[in-house]
Amino acid sequence: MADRTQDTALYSSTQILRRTQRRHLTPAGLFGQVIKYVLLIVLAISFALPFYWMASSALKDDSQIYSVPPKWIPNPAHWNNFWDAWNVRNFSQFSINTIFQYAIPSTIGTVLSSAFIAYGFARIRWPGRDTLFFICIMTMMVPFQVLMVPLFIIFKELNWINSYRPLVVPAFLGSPFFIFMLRQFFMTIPQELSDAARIDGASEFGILFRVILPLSRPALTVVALFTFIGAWNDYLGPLIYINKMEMMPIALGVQELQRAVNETGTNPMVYPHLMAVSTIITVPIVIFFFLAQRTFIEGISLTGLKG
Amino acid sequence: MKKLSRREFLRVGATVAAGATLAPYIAQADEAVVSNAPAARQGVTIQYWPSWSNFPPAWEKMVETDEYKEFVGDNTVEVKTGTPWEAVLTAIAAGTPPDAVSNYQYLDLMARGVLRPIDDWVAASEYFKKELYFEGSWNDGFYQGVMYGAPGIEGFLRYGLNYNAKMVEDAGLDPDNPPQTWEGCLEWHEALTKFDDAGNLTQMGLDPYDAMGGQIAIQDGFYPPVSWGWKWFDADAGTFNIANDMMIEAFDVMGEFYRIAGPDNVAGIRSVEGQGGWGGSFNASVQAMIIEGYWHPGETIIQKPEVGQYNRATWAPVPTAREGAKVQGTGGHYVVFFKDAANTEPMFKIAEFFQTDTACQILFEDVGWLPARIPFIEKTDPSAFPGLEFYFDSVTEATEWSSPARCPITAYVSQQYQELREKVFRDELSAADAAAEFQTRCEDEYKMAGF
Amino acid sequence: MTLQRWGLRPKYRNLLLGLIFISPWLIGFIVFTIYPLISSLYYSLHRYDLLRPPVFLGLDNYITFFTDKSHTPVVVYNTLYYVVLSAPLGVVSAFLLAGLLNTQIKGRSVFRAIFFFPAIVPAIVTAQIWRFLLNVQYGAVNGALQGLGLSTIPFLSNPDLSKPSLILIHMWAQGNAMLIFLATLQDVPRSLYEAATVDGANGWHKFRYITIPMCSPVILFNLIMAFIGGFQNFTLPWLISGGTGGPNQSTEFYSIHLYRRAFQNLHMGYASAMAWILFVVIVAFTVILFRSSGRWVYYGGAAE
Repeated sequence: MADRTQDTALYSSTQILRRTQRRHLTPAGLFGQVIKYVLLIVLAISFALPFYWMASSALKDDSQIYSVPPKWIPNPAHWNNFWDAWNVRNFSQFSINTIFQYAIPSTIGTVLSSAFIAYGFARIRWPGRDTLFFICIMTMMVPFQVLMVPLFIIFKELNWINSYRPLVVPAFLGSPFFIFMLRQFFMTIPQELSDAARIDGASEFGILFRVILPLSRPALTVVALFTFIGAWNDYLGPLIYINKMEMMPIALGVQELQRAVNETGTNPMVYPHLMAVSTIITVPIVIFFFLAQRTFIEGISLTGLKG
Repeated sequence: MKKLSRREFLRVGATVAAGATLAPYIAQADEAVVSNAPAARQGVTIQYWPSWSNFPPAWEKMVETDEYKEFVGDNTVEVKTGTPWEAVLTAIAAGTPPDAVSNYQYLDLMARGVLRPIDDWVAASEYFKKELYFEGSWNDGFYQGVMYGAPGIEGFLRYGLNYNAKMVEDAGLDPDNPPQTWEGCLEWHEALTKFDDAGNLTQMGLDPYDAMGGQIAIQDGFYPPVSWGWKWFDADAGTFNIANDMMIEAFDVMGEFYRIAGPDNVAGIRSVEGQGGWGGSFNASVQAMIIEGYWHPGETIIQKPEVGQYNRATWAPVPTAREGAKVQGTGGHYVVFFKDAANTEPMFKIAEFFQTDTACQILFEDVGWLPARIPFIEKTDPSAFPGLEFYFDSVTEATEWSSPARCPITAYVSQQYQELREKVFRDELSAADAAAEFQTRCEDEYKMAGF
Repeated sequence: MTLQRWGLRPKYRNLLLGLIFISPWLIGFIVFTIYPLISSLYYSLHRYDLLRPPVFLGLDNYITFFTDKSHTPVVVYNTLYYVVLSAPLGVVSAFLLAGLLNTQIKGRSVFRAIFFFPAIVPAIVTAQIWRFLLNVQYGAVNGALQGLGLSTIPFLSNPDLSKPSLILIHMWAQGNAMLIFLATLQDVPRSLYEAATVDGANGWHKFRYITIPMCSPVILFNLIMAFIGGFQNFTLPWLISGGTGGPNQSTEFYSIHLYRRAFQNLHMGYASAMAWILFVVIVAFTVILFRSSGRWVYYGGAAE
């Protein structure tokens, strides 16, 4: 109940805002505004705090890390930690591997194939469709651990071990999660739009590319974003398939660093280094998100349907 | 019109991108096959996976030596550290194991027939001779009469109570008069365990479940049988002897250390990075005592000289009723070879290289490790690291010797021990019930694993 | 005759088309899911330790799971506790954040980014940060509590608090679901709200009768994903507890136990049986959710 009340407040504040724009701010409206921004700022602080902790820990030395009570501002700040940490392991190589061998190819593959497959599940009526779709969803529920060994044997037979193929090729065969998501999006697009295109002589491919995809750009952006981030952060997959240090992706590099902390006691500066690398690898994702969010969030509204 | 053409462009662009992305993968597959051929002529690539993360610096030094070049010949060795156990398993199951590994669950591997017996190689070797090794360490390379493990990398004595003399002095205790029994340890523990004003633990005396006192999944099992002096597993009969008075006493006596410091507090202090791992809290000077092997003095000096300089070692604690018993143990590590691997024979040469004085010296100086190889031990300076001398003396002074039980479910036993002891010190289960449960779990598992 | 043909042809044409569209998935499904699944079903009926050949046991592994008193009860309890609380709370937290962001606010892109960030940090990093932040002795959160003169809270080292702490971390990392909600909220036609305003509806009415129905397919989607994720919850508790499921087995969830049985104790067959049991439970849960969803999920232009 509490959450609903809160949301009501949010929605009435939308109302209030409209009035605000007309520059007739009532005292109640002002109060609502203040509450909203206080809420936003408190939430923002609690969301950002762990990252502040990460970034500030990256600037500390060991005695500052383990000080009681904890120090919020590292003084003196050890800026060279970033450079040192990046070179403790070959993180430059790891990031190149992750981006070009894994993240970009699997993003392209997932977006294309998932949209294609979702169209077959959402916009064409054919016998057995719903059964197959249900099966498709069910595959998401299979715990990965069970598939791990048989999959490893398949990829070994294909001679794909120690390459990114076990991670990239399946991306071109669609991901159930994104198929499901895109299907949900596609289904909210009125059938009349497809029918109209069909009457104009468009093929199903034409409808997918000219009607559905342009309307689903935000959804596709989400798929791309999630896949890219997923690949950037993935460590269970590469852990099994990639044995060569020079081929490692970045998440495995971080894990290597973390293992070094745990296994060999306190090597000097390992925790600050871990945090420094964590900070560095978070930055590209943040930039990526900033670039993509406009397209994603504001790209479309269904009001276009009226036309 | 403008819109349409952009969409067309996107579509074409996407198709081209997909093709371009897939192309290198298809090309790569061919390359992989081709590149194998010339490699075979120049020598082979040996895969060796020791799990220790502190091994690589020593390894980098070893490969620079002339001896190494002699032993390796035209081949190259790829060393991969930190591989998780599950990745090792998947690789074996898929038929692509490395040539050899070290520091994994040896008994699990030996008992399941995936290792290559090395009796023939050892018989022909001028380096591996039974009389050159500590008997216990040599014997633990065998399973049911067949030799699988070539002793190597590290293998000297396993037990001692190490303590930080400075912390001990600061607490008003006498570092020259260390405790010999659990009772004595508990007194020190109480004096060394400190809380801040808010009741938070800031320092503890002894975490009896850290390092060699804790779960030792690789092969040693668990510590109470060493301290109380009994055999928990009979390999010939396949029976467990766990639900006994000694185990019950051990649960209570060792659990008391946690009750004093507070279970949540200990979990907290030991869960931050750097203090959680094996021995980490001793290095961080938040734990004053630790039950550890001979490697502790060297590793601590190398990793944390400012702490290592105060290290001292004495006999690992025994129950008061057994005061005067001086317990020590053999064990250590091996290089084990996989049946299905291609280059085990050249890898065996590398295992031989690990027996050379050159390799042993590098491991000793750079990591702090000693082999189970008597000729090298005899040459080693016992005063090289503070506290190491105790272990050298204990070779002749120990009254009881233990070696790891040859139990093929040792990893499981360690895991249950860890779970049940926590239930005891958190007062959820009585020590007697825990011991009975421990026995039942082990018996069930032994059957379930098909032994 | 003609009518019949008219009736049949599009059906087969559509079947063919449909199969063409889903063919990539079908290939992947057969090769990368069906085959491994059948292997695992086979293993679940055997004693299989990965290293020795499987030995047939019949249903023993399944029976062992249901009769095991030492681990099954605690593992099932932990998992249900986590799933039942974390899935709805996570969805609510994501929905509220999205709702807040969907109002007209200054600096929206900054707030949006901040709320989203937790989702994009690798789990391995998240685990390190939270382990340290929530630590009793060194953690900043407890440091702040102490600074305020309050007593410290052993978030992750007390068996009673470890699961709630994990749920809190889960609610904090809802960026993905939040973005999906946000996109959905922005797709709700303005005209609907405008029409409702003309009809004199207040904020609550609009939320109840426009926002929720329009978002319901996505709520269902996120809820199902949260349930599946909850049942399979592995990475974060695994990393935070250092692979032990501690303290005192309080974070030993189903997947963690399964993983330990499979890879630490080499009971691949038993773990496969556990995985199949989990699979059936998740499918049952999802079917129930889907069945019940007919009453509250609204598809705008659905083909059905």
